[in-house]
Amino acid sequence: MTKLIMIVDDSASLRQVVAISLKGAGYEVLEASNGQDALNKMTGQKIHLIISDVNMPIMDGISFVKAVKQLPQYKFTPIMMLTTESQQEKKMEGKAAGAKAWLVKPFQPNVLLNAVAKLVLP
Amino acid sequence: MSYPHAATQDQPNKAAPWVLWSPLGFGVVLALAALVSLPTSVPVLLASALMLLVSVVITLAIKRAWQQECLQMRAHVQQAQAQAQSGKSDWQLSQVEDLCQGIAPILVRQIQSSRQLTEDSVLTLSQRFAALVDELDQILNGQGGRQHQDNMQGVSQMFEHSGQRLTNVIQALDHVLKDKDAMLQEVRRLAAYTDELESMAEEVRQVADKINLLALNAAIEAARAGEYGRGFAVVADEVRSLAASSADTGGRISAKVSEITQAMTRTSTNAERSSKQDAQMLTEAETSIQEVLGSLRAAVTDVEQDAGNLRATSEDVRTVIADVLLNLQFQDRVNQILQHVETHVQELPHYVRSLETETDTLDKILQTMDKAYTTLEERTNHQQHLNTRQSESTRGSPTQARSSTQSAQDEDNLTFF
Repeated sequence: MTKLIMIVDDSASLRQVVAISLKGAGYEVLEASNGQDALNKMTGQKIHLIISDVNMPIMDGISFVKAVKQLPQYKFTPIMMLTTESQQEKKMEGKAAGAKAWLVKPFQPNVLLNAVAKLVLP
Repeated sequence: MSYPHAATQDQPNKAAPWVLWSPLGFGVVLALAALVSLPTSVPVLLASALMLLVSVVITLAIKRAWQQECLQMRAHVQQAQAQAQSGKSDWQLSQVEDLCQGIAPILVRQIQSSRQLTEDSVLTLSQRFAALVDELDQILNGQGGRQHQDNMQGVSQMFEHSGQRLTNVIQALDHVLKDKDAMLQEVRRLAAYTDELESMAEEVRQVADKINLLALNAAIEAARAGEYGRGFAVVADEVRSLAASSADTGGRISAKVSEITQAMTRTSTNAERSSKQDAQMLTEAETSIQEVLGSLRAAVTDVEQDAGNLRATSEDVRTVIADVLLNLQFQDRVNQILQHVETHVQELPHYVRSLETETDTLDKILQTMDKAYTTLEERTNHQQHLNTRQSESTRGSPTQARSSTQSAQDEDNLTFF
């Protein structure tokens, strides 16, 4: 069964870049432009992994992770942060919110795909 | 605005001009002149003393007036200086604030439009590149690739099938040719029978001749026998008649056999010539078919090779496009950096205002800027600027600093919790 991965980022071009890497590896992709948009689009889906930016309008990435962890259906869905933020304090914020991994942009496709392979739900 | 004369008027007591003493000098000179030129008398002495006293009083009055004027002027100048200083500061801040408010919105608009333009262009580029990668994926792995493989397999199978059918046709023609040869052999064998028939017809004629001769002898003997031989003579005539008829039949048989022989010889000759032509045509047709099949097979092989090369090239192109697409990640970072620049440009009038009310304004602004950064480039640039301010000796471009640590960064970019 093909695994579904959600990409949450306000940059459409970056969503394209991530999507093309994931599709090339055989994953299906669902895109959202911010945390609130993602929460709206998650309903009724079976998502195996969420990749989210941190700095976004309307709802930022950390708030989004906290909101996802409140949803019974997605409580255990792994979340990886993909952001330009590299400061340790920010990483700790993400960890405390419930993120499983933190990847700093710009990313290399093999690094992204290795991380995805380790995190994605069976 | 400046007040150059203020400094000279600042100390009037110490720098009283000599002109102020001129009434006193003038009184002394007049008194001395009166005493010297006029005879000494009480009125002259009183007048001289009076002039001296008047000149002293006038001089003191003038000096006092001068001092008061100087004091007033100094107070006025000090007040003017204080007002000027305060007015100058207010004027400068106000002008800078106006300047910022006038320019900052334009700069913000320029940054916003640049950001939007870059984002739109990069998005269009990335969408087109993504579409290209999708199409190449479909060609290489999806329906297009499978269809191509199916097509090539179909062409190969069609060639095998066509080759088999054409071989069958050649074999059928060969079979027909062999049947024709067999028939020709039969015709030749029949030709051999005609010689035999000719011989038999000759034998019939010879027997008829002998019978005719015998019947002639019988007629002679019948005549010699007279009346007794009359009946026999009739029989002999009949026999002669039959012998003639037989000889005639033998001749006709011989003639017909000869005609048949000629006809069979012509048929045999024509059949042989036709058989040779058919055999040659069959050989040529087989050669042509093999050549055509060989050419088509070579063409298909070329097409397959070209398709293989095209496939390899498509894979290379896909890899290159995917790499290009990855490099478009710069847009996200550039966008964030420009957003922060935009925010700080917008805040410039506020920063200027805060100069009036707060202390350590620059440090506070720099801290605010540092907190807002999200990219490594921003922090590196910021820190390098601070370092440059502190010491001119520590210089280096952000790019160099970054590239030297790039490989290490790739390893450190990923953190699992």
